[in-house]
Amino acid sequence: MSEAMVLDIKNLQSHFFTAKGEVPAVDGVSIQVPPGKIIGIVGESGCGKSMTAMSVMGLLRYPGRVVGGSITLEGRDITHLSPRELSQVRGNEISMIFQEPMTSLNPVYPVGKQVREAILLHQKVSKAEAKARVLDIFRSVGIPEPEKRYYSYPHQLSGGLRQRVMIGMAMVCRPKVMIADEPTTALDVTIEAQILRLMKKLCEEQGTSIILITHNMGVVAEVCDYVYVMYAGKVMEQAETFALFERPSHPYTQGLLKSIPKLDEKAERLYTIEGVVPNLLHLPKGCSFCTRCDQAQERCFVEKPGLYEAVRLNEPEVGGRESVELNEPAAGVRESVGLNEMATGSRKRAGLDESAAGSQESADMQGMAGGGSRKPGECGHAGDGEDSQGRAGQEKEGQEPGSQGREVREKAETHTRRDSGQEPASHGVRCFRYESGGQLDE
Amino acid sequence: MLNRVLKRIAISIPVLVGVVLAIFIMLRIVPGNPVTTMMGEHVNPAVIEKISREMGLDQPLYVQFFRYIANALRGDFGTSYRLNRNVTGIILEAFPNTVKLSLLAAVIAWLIGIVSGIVAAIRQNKLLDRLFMGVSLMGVSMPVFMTALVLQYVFAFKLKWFPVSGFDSFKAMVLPAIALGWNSAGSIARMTRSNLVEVMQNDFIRTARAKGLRENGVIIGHALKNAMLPVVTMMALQLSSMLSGAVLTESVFGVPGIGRLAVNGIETRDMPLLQGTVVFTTILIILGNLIADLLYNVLDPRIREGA
Ligand SMILES: Nc1ncnc2c1ncn2[C@@H]1O[C@H](COP(=O)(O)OP(=O)(O)O)[C@@H](O)[C@H]1O
Ligand code: SF4
Ligand SMILES: [Mg+2]
Repeated sequence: MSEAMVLDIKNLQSHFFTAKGEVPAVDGVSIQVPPGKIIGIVGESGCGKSMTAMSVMGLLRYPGRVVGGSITLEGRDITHLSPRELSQVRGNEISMIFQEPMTSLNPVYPVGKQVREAILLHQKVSKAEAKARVLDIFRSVGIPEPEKRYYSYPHQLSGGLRQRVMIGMAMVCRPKVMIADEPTTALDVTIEAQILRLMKKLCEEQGTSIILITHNMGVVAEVCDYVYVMYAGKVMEQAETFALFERPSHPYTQGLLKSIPKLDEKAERLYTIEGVVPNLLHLPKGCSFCTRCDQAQERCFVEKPGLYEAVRLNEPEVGGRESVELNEPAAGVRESVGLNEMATGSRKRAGLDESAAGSQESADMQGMAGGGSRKPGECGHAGDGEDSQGRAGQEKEGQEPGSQGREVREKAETHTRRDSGQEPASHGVRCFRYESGGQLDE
Repeated sequence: MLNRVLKRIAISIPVLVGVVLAIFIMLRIVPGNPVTTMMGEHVNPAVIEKISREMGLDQPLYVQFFRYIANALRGDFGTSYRLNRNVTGIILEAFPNTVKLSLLAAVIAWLIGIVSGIVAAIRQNKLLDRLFMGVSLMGVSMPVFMTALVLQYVFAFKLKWFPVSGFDSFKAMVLPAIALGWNSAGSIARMTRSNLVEVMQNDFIRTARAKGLRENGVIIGHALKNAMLPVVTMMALQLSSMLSGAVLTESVFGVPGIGRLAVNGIETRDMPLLQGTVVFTTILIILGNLIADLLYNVLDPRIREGA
């Protein structure tokens, strides 16, 4: 249910208004963050991960801005806040840490003071009390000699320590959500592992949800409960971590997974997805991945795949409402329009022929809507916060999430199974491959 | 830190000696006998020669030079030909006026410069920014004597708000101080603005916003100190150059300061006086540089801690 979600991003669109044109950096992204979970956002560089996070934080700078969609934090719409309201949310209810621990701290102030500032901004406590809390948080993020480190300047700390300071700063007001944008990319692997472990620990102890942005599938496997795969400003696929690794259903995800270096294989040549991320100003007419997809078909180049409505899996009734919003001629809705029009049965969209696949889609939509009887928590992504500790291990053993992963494949092959009550574990951009009964070689 | 200071002072000594040597040689190779200049053309040549000998002018140049250095080290810059007084005394008498003028000019310049630089940076590319930067460009590019003459003409001659010249009251100091500070205000404003705009691109600014600071808090609390480091250095340099004699401003407004002394020295070929003021101002500039450098070190923890 929606209330169960700490953070609910719906159809977020953030564009950059540049001299060369309007860049749809975030193009209809929906992300749900349940309490006390670690949500991963993966994708190659430039696919819009950071801009999604910056949009949530209200940190987009000119020429970028949020042009559509909504961001809801514990039931409160925070999409369009005044600077004053925004400053009360930032660092307090949602906090963020960044990739560059070297430059993310102000070089001319001691780190302790910089963390203390976050407390003084949001809580009515004395400076002494605030300092005591800084020392506490320093201890819990594993900074040795907190008393001494309090007065250290950033340049006197190692990268790992600085990132711990950043995490401390982000956690000190006990936010509901912490966004970590590539927090370990600039660190070496041992430190990376420590920092990831720390974030997982804090997430579990304090019940803070974490959105972990990374381009590293290994990091996702390590800590994330649920993953969103982004490409060219869109969510291509979303699934529980285990399911995603077990049964990646989108060709892009498959490519990403194939490019993870494996230790046990004789390293011939590391697999890479050929080509480069397309220029967002000149996206292909069809699927944005078609220029690089090794499974592309003819129609991929001419038709835009829609999104799985299942993004809103937990609240099917909202699907209808949402489609009303979407049918408004807002900028950047292009992709989703097809989908929702299908859902509402009014297929006005030009250029989209009423192919068999099309009607199959709409049948599918109905099927999705029919999924309303599904109990929350069934897909594991919904708010079953109480067993967050046990979950990771459970997943590794590959029980329930794995079987869901298999369902992805089944679902992908035969949409007609929908009425049998099975649900996809994985959602995102609706890849054409499945609709023409495409082969699933992995 | 102390090491640094000592090193800097050690480096300054050869610079100082070089400057003294240069000015010494230059003043000797200009045509004309200083004694003739001092006493007039129609004096008995024998008398001139006698006086020259008494003043040591018949000695070889290097002897004169070392004698000058030896005396200068004791604080004795010789006797002015014209005023027949100890040069050190004359300089010390004029210096307080220059100090007053410079400090007033600096305070005006820095206040105007820093405030308008910050405002321009906040209102980047908006009207106020354009206006301030336009005016400051005028400040930077207008020659001092022109600023001085325009101010004098408009506010002293025409409007009669301020005295035309002199330096005996606070009111009399205002116009020269503005004239002298005008340039500095312009360059401080521009530097403050561009540094702030640049610092605002830093990652730690994003962190400051992310922790919940409002934009003004970000600028004042996090960007300003970083942006001001180089500005403070520039301010120290400006002050030392003002102190070392605002030749043009002092001349236009008749301020009896160091700059005026130098001009008098040139006009009257008063070698000891000119030499004394030049050496004195060189010392001031070297000190100013030293202080600017140290200030930077004290303010920037990265350098202070010897990272
Ligand atoms: N200032 C900007 N002007 C124009 N486009 C931008 C700007 N910043 C980001 N973008 C666009 O947003 C896209 C996504 O960027 P980003 O979210 O930083 O990617 P990443 O997934 O690597 O974090 C970029 O590919 C770029 O096209
Ligand atoms: S729709 Fe699917 S198969 Fe077609 S190009 Fe896109 S990802 Fe590849
Ligand atoms: Mg990024």
